[in-house]
Amino acid sequence: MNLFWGLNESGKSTWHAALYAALCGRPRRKGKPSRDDEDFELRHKPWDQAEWKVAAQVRLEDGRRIELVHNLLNVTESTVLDIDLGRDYRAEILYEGSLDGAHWLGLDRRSFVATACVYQADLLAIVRSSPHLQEQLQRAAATASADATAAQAITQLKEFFADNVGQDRRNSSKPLRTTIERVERARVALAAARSEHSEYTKLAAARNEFQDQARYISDQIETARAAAVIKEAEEWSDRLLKAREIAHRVSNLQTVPESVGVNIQQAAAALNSWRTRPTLPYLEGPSASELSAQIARLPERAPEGDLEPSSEVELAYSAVESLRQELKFHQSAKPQEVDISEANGASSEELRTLSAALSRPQPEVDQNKVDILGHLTRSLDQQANSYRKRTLTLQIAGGALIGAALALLVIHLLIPGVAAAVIGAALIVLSFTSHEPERLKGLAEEMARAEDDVRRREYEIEYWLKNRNEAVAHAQKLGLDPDTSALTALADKLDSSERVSAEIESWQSAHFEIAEQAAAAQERFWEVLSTHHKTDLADVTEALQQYRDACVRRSRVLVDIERRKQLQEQLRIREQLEQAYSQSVGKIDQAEAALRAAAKNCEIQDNGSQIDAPEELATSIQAWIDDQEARRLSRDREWAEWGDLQSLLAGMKFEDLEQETAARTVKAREVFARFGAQSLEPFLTSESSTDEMLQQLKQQAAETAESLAHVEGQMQERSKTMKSVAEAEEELEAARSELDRISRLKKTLETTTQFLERAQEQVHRSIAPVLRQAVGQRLPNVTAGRYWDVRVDPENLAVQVCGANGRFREATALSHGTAEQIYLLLRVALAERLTTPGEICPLLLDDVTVHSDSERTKAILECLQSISRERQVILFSQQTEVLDWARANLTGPNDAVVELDASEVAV
Amino acid sequence: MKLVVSSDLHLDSAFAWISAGSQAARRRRDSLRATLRRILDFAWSERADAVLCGGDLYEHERFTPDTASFLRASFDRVSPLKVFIAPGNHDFYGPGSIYNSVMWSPNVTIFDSSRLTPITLSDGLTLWGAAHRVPAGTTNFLKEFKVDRGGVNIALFHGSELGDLPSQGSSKSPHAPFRAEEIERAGLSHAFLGHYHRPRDAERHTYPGNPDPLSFGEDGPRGIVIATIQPDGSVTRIRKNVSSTTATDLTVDVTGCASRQEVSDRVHSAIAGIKGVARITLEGELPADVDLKLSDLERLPSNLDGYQVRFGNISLRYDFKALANEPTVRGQFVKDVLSAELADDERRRVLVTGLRALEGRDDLEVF
Repeated sequence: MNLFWGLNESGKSTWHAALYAALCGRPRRKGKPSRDDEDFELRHKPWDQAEWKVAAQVRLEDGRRIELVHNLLNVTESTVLDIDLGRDYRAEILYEGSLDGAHWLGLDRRSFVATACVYQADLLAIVRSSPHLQEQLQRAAATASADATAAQAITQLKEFFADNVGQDRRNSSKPLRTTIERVERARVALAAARSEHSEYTKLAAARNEFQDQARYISDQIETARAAAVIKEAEEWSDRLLKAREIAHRVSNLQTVPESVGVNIQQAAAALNSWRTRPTLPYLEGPSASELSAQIARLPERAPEGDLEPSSEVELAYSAVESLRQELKFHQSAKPQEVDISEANGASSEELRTLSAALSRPQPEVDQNKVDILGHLTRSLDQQANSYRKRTLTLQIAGGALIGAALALLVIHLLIPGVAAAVIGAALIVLSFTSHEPERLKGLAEEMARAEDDVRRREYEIEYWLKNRNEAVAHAQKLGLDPDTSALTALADKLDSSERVSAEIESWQSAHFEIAEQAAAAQERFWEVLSTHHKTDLADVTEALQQYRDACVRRSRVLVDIERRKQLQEQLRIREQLEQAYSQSVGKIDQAEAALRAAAKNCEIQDNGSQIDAPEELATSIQAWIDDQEARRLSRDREWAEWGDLQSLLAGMKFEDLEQETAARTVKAREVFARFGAQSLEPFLTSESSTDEMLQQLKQQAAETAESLAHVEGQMQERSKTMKSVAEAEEELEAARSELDRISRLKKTLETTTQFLERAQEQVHRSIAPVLRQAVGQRLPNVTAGRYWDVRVDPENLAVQVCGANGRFREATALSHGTAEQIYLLLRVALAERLTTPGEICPLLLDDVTVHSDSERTKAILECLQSISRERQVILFSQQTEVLDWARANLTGPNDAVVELDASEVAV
Repeated sequence: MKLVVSSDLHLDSAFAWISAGSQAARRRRDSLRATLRRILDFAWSERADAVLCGGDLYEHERFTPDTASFLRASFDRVSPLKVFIAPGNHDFYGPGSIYNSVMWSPNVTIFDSSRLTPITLSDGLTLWGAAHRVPAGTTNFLKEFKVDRGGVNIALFHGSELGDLPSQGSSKSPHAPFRAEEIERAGLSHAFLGHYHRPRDAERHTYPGNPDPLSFGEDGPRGIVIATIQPDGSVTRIRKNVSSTTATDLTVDVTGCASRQEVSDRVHSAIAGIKGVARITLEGELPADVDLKLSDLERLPSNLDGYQVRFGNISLRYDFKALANEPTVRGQFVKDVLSAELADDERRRVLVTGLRALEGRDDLEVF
């Protein structure tokens, strides 16, 4: 652990920033710098120098020693070289366009800040704003950088989906639905445009057909006119021939008396009256008076009210009945309560905590280490004693020889005396020059470490016993058996009881809701029924039945009314028949009288006697009329032929008729030659007259012209409103293209969200035990045994710790110092987790204890010292007590205390 | 005898690649009409003896009454220059077709029989023409056909020479299929044809190709053919570009662009000075943080009548392999997506979308 100590303005924060920049550099600037980057430059860029560089040497776990030189103004000029081999490692750590040494750790400059680099007062910040640090750490867990957390990313995806895709629901205004509707509109518009176009082309085809037809009819009219000329010529020839024949036949014409004609007319009229006399109608069934009596017995007016039960009422009743059944069924499904009195008021969590505490195995004494300690102790004692004896022997021998030398010198035995003195002095010097003390010192240090190990294990056993005793006492205090399995089973029962209670509560809520619905349905039924039927009954079913019965009664009355109407119609017909009968009898009598009068005028008799039977009389009259008619026809034929002759001559003389006929024959021959026999044949051989055919053709021509005009009018109208098929196709294609884009986006967003949620779940599952173990193994030490277990929720990185009472508490609810220590451990755990395997991430801490009191400061420093056994910890501080602590405690070979002098800092 | 030959103008064609609602597609259709006028004006100014049209002059399923009026007026305008039209599969001679509905000026002759019918162009030179009377299923006009007279006989119809079919692309349907050798066998000196949009000058037949661009990727010198028929039946051909529009197909490499503005600048730089219609395909590598959508580039430049931008092979600069090794949600996400059974394009979109969301970005629609 390295402490950089200095008073205010001694450059601590600058050194801290320099260390960070020397490792991570700055991102290559593109456009406007970020706020953090701008702030960094404002605070740390030299005011009076053009250059701004920082350099550092780092040693990686693979043994490489590397020099990083960052040009913070022009990051492209930064270098990274192997100190020993001179190799360039730029490619290994290039990030955001510049060098970032955090990449060797598997991090980047932003995630390094989130985990391993703590700025001044950052630890304290968690107390005021713990979500901020939690979020920062979540980001590191999600992306190893300061980007969004996984949860934020998923939310972002879902919000983006909602805004840019949306659901395919009716009335949705989001792009997916609106584009589907756009495609549908475009499809309909295209179908309409194609249909219009098809109709237009059909009209065009029809117009072409009518035009062809009009041309054909025009040709036919010309041909018909030619045929008419030929036919007229033929008619004139026939007329001339007929006139000659009639003139030859008609020579002697006679007249008849007028009275014969009068009698014939009278006889024919009488005969006609007799033959057209009416037949008597057939009367059957009840008479008019009988029908009147039946009608009088039937009701006249329809009853008021429903004739059959209203569906509204029936539905309302069904709803009531349905809810009654549901209520009954729900009643039968009521959950059974669970008895939890034996828990004596303890919570399941409390019981599980106690069970966990009791089940934790007891740490065992490491006998091997105790034996080693005994062996070392004995060995040290023996070797020390041996060393002391040997030294004492040499010193005594040397002293004796020096004494003997003094005696020899006194008696002037110079040479022996000097020799004895030299040997004696050599022995004494030899006793002080042995290497034995250093070896004994090493042995003593080894023994001290072994003793530390044994003492630590003793502390753990003592700590375990204390916890267990507290757990047993707590269980007994609750009146429970301190048995692990019993406590766990009771906790399970409590959890089960909670679930059942929740189910009962849910059942009651549902029961109340159904009952309310049933009451509302019943109220609705009465409300509906009141508009159809008045009743005093209180029971729903009885009231419904009463209503149904009333409907049946009313419908029966209606049947009688219908019967009355039928009988009234029957009466009307019967009265007409009876009146017609009496009229027919009168007409027959009149016809017979007329017949007899005609027979008398015509003097019709049979063998000299009068005929009585009307039918025989009618036969005789008819025979007389026929005879008179034959005579008249003969005379009329002769007169008619004479009339025909006059008509044929038409006022002309025979010579004129002959000349006109000859001229027409010549013209007919010319026309025949022009049109040809084939064209003229249909007109000449037709039974219809040429005029009729011409009339028909003109009629067809007019109809065709009208149809043609109609079609052309339709075409003109359509051409004004016709939509372009091409434009409709283009709109549909554009709409489909847009829908494809949105559908692709939908699929991408859904797939991405699924993968991200799955990844988040997997990482959370894997990271939770790692963080728990990493924080938990240091937690008892840094909290002096107050807390020994920890939970970390990977989703929000919220930390809970567990103390002797077995209950977990939120870390942020603890004292400031404890919370700071716990979150410092979490930072370390995350740094370990996110760092590339094989590398160790250092910690850079700037004045993290500046707002802590003495006790907390000491706790944090001890925590850091513990951490520094595994990784490099560089701490900056201005507090004297930190400096004092460091001087007393940072004495190891990897420790250093550097005091910064404010006077050396350039202004 | 100098003839101006064209085919496959496809008046009233739809241009689906142009943004709907814009006037660009309508302008493209107007350009096709302008091209027809240029053809007729050219024939008139060159004192050509006749104009031959090898079919697909317009599209029956899409024509407007205005097109019928335009065609009648255009041909009437160059009267007495003779115009011969052999209807194709798109403008087949049916009951409701324009050909059957318009009262053409006397200089216009439309072949209306599904069998080759002769018309004497000059003494000793006969033009045989035929029409598609249905939109599909028209058989070989040359099957069992043999000219019945001497002199030089040439033909005009809309058909598919099967030897050329593969070069016309897989989407081309072989309407009225025939083989080149059948032309000579029928006694014809030459056949002027429509249907193939890619031009072709063979020994005894000529496809002028579509004279004005209908889509991108059309190559070859398209336009009209000025064909001179020699007394011995040989034909000299000169091609002339009469299109009123040029279609440019460009690929723009966006590698090195750091923002969508730079991409936009690069695209607009690439199309500067280009006229007509253009299609831009973007390719290359972009930084991961570039927020780019097609809609950013869809504004029609003032110098173009139509404009289409599409994404080609564009990659975003992410080191997916390194990201997959991260012990983070991001690393797990990248690892999962890389190992999932997804199409490459979908995998790329999912990866980039997820990474952008994790970066807190809101440009989550990835091309």
